[in-house]
Amino acid sequence: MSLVSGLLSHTLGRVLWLSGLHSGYHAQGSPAMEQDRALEVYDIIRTIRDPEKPNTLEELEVVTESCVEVHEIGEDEYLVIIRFTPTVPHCSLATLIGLCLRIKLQRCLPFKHKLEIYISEGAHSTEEDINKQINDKERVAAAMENPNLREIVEQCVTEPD
Amino acid sequence: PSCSPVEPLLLAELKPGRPQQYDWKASCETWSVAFSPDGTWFAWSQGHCIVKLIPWPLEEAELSCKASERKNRGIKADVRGRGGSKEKTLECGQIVWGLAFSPWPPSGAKERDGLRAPGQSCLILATGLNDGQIKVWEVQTGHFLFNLSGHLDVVRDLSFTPNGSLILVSASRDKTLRIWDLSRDGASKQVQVLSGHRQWVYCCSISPDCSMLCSAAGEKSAFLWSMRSYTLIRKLEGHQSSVVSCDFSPDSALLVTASYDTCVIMWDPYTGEQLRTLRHVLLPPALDYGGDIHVSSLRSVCFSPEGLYLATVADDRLLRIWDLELRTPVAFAPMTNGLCCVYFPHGGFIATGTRDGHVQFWSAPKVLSSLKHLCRKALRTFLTTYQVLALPIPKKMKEFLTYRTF
Repeated sequence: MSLVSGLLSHTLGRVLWLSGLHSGYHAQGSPAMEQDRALEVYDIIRTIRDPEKPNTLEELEVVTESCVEVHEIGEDEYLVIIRFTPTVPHCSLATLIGLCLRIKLQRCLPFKHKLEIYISEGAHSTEEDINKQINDKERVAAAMENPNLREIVEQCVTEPD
Repeated sequence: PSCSPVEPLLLAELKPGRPQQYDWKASCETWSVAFSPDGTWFAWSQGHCIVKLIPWPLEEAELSCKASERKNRGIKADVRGRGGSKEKTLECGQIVWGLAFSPWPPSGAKERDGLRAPGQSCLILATGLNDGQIKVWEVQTGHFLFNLSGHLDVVRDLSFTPNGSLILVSASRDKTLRIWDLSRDGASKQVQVLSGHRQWVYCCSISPDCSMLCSAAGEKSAFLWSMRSYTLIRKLEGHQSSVVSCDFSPDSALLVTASYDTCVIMWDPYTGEQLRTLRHVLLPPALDYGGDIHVSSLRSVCFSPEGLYLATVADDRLLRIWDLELRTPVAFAPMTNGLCCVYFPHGGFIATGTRDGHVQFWSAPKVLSSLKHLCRKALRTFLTTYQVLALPIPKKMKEFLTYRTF
């Protein structure tokens, strides 16, 4: 049994290495560079407005500098991981915030990136489901087709002049 | 006939035997599960680029010794992915999105690709991958056979014609569907490209009589294509959001489509009429603000093999089984993060795949079809709706035969 599981994890490791996942989670790029990138990301997301309140996500402490992680996964391509803490345990708002983060970064981040968004543990009642939905490209695409949602997202991500 | 709702029992759960740190990392999802048409193999896309081929039935010993406990307490039997001698692991190198089985004719006349000795029929499995490639594998040995290239983006779903003619349809995020003829020799097996969708195509389904193809995409209409001329027959309009799943009934007389708009619509594919709408909300639809967009979005829909039930997987954490005669579900089972579902070809249970790479097997209500329904199924297998309407029979019988009444 242990032989099988050993083989399995070896195989898995090989597969993951080939698919680039493995190297992504070990420091390949310089930590200083990744730290810079993380700050770049934070600078973009902190001005996003909360869907319900007239404050930014930074002001409400929904996102903080430490909640952004960046890993280099290829030449000039980075994996960005954001863990945010919604202010209220309400399903739809957490989803909206996730959407806003994704759209803003898609538009404003200058380097090639893959984005994974998670809700900080303990901050939400149904976080498990939402965690995975936020990263589901097909759901995000469908959500942005909804004109009401799209308008709300636009309002939240647009910088005040 | 009313029957007391029977909770689908969780019969078994398969969990990928991988180190825990890889759980819940991106690409761990089970996007697809499939049974071979003869019910002898099960394919499980268990995430992280691996597909497991498991001979069916599952290790009987495990399931039967727990059976007596299960009956009274509803305990599920946990079957870990063990390295059984016949189980095969396919390393695809990238995320696997679509799966489809097909019988492969015994290679008497054709000796190619190193297939088995003449006289033994085999199975092949086509896997739809992240970069647009389709890899085809031999099931008995787990060997890679060949590649189909052409798609430019994720191959989200695959479907073989059920008559074994080796015609494969693939649905892709490059907004096209492609028809492939695997019986062709040589490199170019692509027969046709079907364009028309303006968004990612999510699902394709071929009618059991091989005459029609339905495709669902990230737009509000589903498309119905002819499998004879490879042209568009009609657009099915009615959904309010992305259509993500579609399936034909075993007699090809009904088509169901499922959407993120929380509804499953049942259509007559010959006339394009909407026959039923199955709603998955228990409360009045939430206000559009914020959407509660995840609650009750459909993920997958599947007909039972005798054509009397539907299984649906929705984001509100329920697997539902619908009796076609009624308008409400007859059974519910809790499942979180469900992505796909498929009925066992001989009926009796359902396999579901989830976002964390797990697969569950649920018992499905077993039913004895009424003689009426068996006759209807037999007739509709070769008669179109228009042909039925042209028959010199009473109106009530026509309504029954065309599924206007049940």
